[in-house]
Amino acid sequence: MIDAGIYSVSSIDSMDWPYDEIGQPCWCGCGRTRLVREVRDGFLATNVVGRRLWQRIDRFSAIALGLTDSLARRAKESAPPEEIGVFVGNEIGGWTYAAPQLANLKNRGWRHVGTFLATAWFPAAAQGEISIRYGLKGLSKTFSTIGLSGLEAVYFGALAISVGRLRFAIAGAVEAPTSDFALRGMFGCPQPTFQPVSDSGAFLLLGSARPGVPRLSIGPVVVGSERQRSSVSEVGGARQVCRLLQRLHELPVGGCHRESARSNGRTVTYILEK
Amino acid sequence: MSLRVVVTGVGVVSPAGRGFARHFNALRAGRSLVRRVSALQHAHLGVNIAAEVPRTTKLPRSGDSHVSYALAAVQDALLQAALPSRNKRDAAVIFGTAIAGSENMETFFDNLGAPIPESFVFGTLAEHISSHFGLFGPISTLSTGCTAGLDSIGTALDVIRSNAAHVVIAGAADAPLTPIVIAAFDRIGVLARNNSKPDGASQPLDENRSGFVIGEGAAAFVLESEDHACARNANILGTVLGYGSVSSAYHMTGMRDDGRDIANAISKSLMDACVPLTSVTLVDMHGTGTRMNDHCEAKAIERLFYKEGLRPFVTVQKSIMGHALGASNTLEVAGLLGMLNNGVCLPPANMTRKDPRIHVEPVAEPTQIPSASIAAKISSGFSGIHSALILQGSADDRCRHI
Repeated sequence: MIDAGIYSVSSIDSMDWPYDEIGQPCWCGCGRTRLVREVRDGFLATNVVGRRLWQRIDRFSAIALGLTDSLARRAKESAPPEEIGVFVGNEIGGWTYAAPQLANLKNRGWRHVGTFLATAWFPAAAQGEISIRYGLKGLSKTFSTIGLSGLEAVYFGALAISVGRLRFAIAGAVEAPTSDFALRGMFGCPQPTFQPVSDSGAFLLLGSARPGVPRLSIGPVVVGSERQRSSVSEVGGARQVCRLLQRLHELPVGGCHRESARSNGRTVTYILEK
Repeated sequence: MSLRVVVTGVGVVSPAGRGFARHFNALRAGRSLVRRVSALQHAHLGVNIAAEVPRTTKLPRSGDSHVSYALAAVQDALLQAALPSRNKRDAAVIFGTAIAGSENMETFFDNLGAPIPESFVFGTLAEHISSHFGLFGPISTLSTGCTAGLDSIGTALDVIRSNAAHVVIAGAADAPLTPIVIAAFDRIGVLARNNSKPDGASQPLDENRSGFVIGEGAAAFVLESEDHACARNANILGTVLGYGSVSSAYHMTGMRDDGRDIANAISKSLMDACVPLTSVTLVDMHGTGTRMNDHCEAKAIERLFYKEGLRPFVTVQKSIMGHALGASNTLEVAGLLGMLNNGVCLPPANMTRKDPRIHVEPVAEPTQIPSASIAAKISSGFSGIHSALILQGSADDRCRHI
C-alpha cells in the first residue's frame, strides 16, 4: 500500500453544471429507451473551455479541464509546475469527436477527416489538455484498466509521490460515453435493463501524507485467482473514484474506512483516514 | 534508489517477424522493412505504405492483432526468463498501447450489427495477457500515446522498487495499419508519402526527410529485481538503470524548438539511474523523421551532451522498422539491448545526406562499443510527453544470443 495525503477533491457531482437528459431510443429498433444524461455542450464550450478549444477537443477532455481547474491552482500555490503531475483514468477515449470523423472517412474520403482527430480521440488527450492549460510539467500518465482506471490512476499518482518523482499529483478519472456510437460499442442491445448512462468524472489532489490532511493508503489493481470474464458493461473508472470521494465526505474526523473496489475479478484496496 | 531492476526475458513481434533474433538480424542488415500494404491500397488513402508484421507469422489467436502480437511477445519473453511457476503467478503485467483495438472499432463502425468488439475499451490488453498466462499480480494498461512502451517499463521500475511486485511483464503493443489511424496522421502532415519508393520513405535525420511510416508489433520484457533474479540464478540480459518523464505543457503535437523538454527527460532519467552524463555511450533517438521531431531531439542531445564536449554514439531504428506508435519504443529497447550485448551501435537506414541544420552525427556504419555500455533511449509523444530510459547491457557473453 502507498500512502498519500488528499489535499483537495473535485467531482462532477459537486459541480453546479447544467445537464441535458435525453431518452435515447435503442438503435436496433427494439422500442426501448435509454436515459442519457450529459453536461450541456453549450455550457462546456462557453463556460469551461472556451469556444475555440471546444472545436479541437472531445467532451471528456472538456469535462476533465473543468474538474481539475481548482486542483491545479491549489497545487501551484505550493509547488513548482515541474513537480506537479497529472494521472488520468480513461477507458473509451473521445467518441463524440471521433465518430463523425470516422463517418467522414467512410462517406467522403480521408481528406475530410478533421485535423484534430489524432489529438482529440485517444485517452491521453485529457492529460495533455490539463497539462497544457494549467502549465503542469511533472510526470503525467493515462491508465485504462477496465472499471478501475480511476483508482489505478490514483495509485500511480501516489506511487510517483512516494518514490520522489513528484510533490503533487492530480489523479482521477473521466468518461463521456454518451455518444451514440460509444453506447452501441459499450452496451449493444438487448440488455436486461437499460441503465442510465451519464458523463462521469472525479479527481483528487494528492501530496505527501502529513498530520491534519486526510490520508489515503492505496494498493495497485490486483487480479484475483477467481477470474471473471471481462464485461464491457462495467466501463467507467470514474465511478469508483466518486465512491471514494463519497466515503471520504461521510467519514467523521478521526475515522478510518477500508474498502475493496472490485470490477471483473480485479480489486483495488484502499484505506481512508481523516 | 538502490534497488536495481534487471531484464531476464525479451520477446519481440516486429515487421521482421517473431523472435528477437529475426528482429536484431533485420537491424543488422540495415534495410528498411517498409512495403506497400494491399489493405491500405484498397482503402484509397493518401498513404499506402507501412512496415507490416509478415502475415505468415505464427501468433496466438485473439480477436485483435495488437493482442496477438502482445501474447506472442510475452510468451517468448516468459520462455526465455524461465520463471518458476510460483514467481509467474505473482507477476505483474504493465503493458502500454497507443491506439488499442482501433482496427476492430473501425470494423464495428462499418457493421454496427456485428458483435461488440472487446477492444472497444482500451484496457483489455493487460487483461488478456494476465488471463492467458495465469499472471495474478498487479495489472495495468497504460495508454500514453507514442511513449507508452517506455512508460510501461518506467512504471514497472517504480512498481518493483516499491516492492508491489518482484517480477513485472512490461511492454507495449500496437497494430495501427487501419484507415482511420493512417488518415488521422496523414491529415496533420506527419506521414512520409513516398508511396512509389516504400523502402526509402522513412529517412530520419536526412535532409530530405518527410515524416514517418507507420509500423506495428509488440515487445515484452521480463523485469525483476536484481536480488530476485540472482536468487533464482537467472540469466541477466541487461539492467534498467533509470527512467524519467516530463510533460512539456506546450502543445498537443508541437515541441519547443530548443529541445529543453527532451533534455529534461534525459536528465531526470540519469538522476534516477544515479549515473553521470559522461557514462552514456549510446543514444537511441525517437527519430520519427518529421522535420520538427528530429530537429528538437538533436537540439536536446546538443544541449545536454555536445555542450559538455561529449559525443555519444547516436542511432535511430525507425527507418528500418517503421513507427509502431506506443510499441515502437519497446521494439527499439529490444534492438538497443541487442546492440549493447553485441558491443555494436548500428546505423540508421536511408541516410543519404544528413540535414546540415542538425549537428548531431548518427553513426554511419556498424561501430564497436565497449562491453556493458550504458545507453539512453528517448521517446516523445502527443500530449507533450517526453520519456527517457537508461539501460545497461550485460557483460555476460552468453547474452549476445538473446
